[in-house]
Amino acid sequence: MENKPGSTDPKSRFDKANRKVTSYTQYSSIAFQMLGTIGLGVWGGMKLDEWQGNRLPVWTIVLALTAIGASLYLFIKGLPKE
Amino acid sequence: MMRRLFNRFFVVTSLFLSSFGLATAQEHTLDGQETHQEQKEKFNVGEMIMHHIRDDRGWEFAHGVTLPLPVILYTADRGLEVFSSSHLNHGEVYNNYKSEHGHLYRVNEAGEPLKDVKVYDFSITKNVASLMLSAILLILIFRSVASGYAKNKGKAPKGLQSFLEPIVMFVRDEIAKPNLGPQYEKYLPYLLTLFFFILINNLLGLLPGGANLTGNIAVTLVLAVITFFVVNLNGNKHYWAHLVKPTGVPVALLPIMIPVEIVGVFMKPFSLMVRLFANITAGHIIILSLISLIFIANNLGGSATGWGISLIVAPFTIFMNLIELLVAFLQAFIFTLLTSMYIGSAIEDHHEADHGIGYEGPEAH
Repeated sequence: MENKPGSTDPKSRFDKANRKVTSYTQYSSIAFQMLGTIGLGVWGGMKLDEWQGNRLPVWTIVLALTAIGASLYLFIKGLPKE
Repeated sequence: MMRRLFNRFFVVTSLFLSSFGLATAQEHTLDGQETHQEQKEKFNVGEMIMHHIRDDRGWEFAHGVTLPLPVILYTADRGLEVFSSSHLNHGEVYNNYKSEHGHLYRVNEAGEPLKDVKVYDFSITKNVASLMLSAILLILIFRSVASGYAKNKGKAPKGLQSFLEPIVMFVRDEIAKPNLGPQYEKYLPYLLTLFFFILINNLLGLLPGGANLTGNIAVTLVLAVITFFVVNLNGNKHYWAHLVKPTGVPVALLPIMIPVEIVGVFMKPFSLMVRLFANITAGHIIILSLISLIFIANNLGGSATGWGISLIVAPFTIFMNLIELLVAFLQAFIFTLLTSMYIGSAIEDHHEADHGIGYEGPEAH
C-alpha cells in the first residue's frame, strides 16, 4: 500500500495501458493546438491586411501558410517518442 | 481489492446518477408540452437549447420554478446597487436598468439604452451560484475526508473517505507520478483540486436544473490560465532555453522558429480551454436536440407522432446521459493529465527520462 515517492509501479501491463491513454490524450490535444495555431495565423493576417489596406490579402496568405507549417512542426514535436 | 471496490462504487454511483438523468429527460418533456400548449404555433429548438446552455440571471430549475438571484451593479454616479433579478424578468425596466441579451444597460425614460454609462456587473448569476455551491460541496466533502484520516489514523478508511481514497490515489499514481517525476508532491494539491473541481461541476451540470458551468468558456479559460501560470512560473532553465534557442535548428531559421515556439506555449492552455468547453457543451446540445426531436415531430405530425418518436428518443437520451457521465470523468482526467504533462515538460531535467515531450536532437543522447 505504502508507495515511496519516485518508486516505479511493477504492474507493467497497467503501465502499458496507461501509456496508451497518455498518448491518446496527447493526440487529442494536438488537434486543438493545430486549430488554434492556424486560427491565430489567419486572424493576425486578416488584421494586418485590414490595417495596411491591402487589396491582395498578402499577410493572410503568408501567415496562414506559416501557421500551417508551424502547427505541423508543433505536432511532430509533440508526438510521443516511441 | 481496492480496484474492485472502486469499480463497484463506480457502478453504484453511475446507476444512481443515471436515474437523475432520466428524471431530467422526463422533466424537460413536461416543460416542453406546457409551452407547446401555450403557444401552439412554433417551437424554437435553437432558442430552447441556448436557454439551457447559457448563463442566466435567475436559476430556473423547471419550467416556471425560478430562483431569483442577486444583481450586483457598480456605476460611477450611483455606486453599488443590489436588487433581485426577478425585477428584470421579461425585459422589464427596474431602477433605470434593463437586461438585453444578458447585458445590463442604463436606460432613459423612453427605455432606450444609454451606451455611455459604464455598468460594472458583479451579479451572482446561475453559473456563479453553481460555482459557489460546488465550492461549498468540495470543502464539506474534503473536510470530512480529512477528518476521517485524522480519526482513523493507521486504520482502514471509512465511508466517504473510502470512496475518495482510490480516486485520490489514482490521480497521484497514474497522473502525477509518471509525468512529474520525483517532484510530484509539490504539484499534487493543484492537480487534485483541478480534478475534483472539474469532476464535481461536470456531474452537477448533468443534474436536472443544473448549471452548465464547465461548458462556459470563461470558467475553462480561468482554469487554463492558472495552468499556464503554474507551468511557466515553474519552468526551469532547460524549458526557457528551449524556447529561445530550439536545439538542432539552424540560426537562419530562428526568426521563424522562436515565434512558433512562443505560439506553442500559448496554444497548450488554449487547447485545454477549448476541449473542456467543447466537450461539455456538445454533450448538453446533443441531449437537448434529442429531446427537441419529440416536439418537432409533435408540431409536424400531431401528438400521436410525438408520442411515437418519444419512445425511440427516450432510450437514446438515456444512453447519451450515460455517455455524458463517462465524459464527465474522462474530461476531468484528461485536463488533469495534460496539465501534469505540461508541468512535467517544463520542470524535467534533460538528463532524466524524457516523457515524450520536447525533441532534444540526436546529439543529446
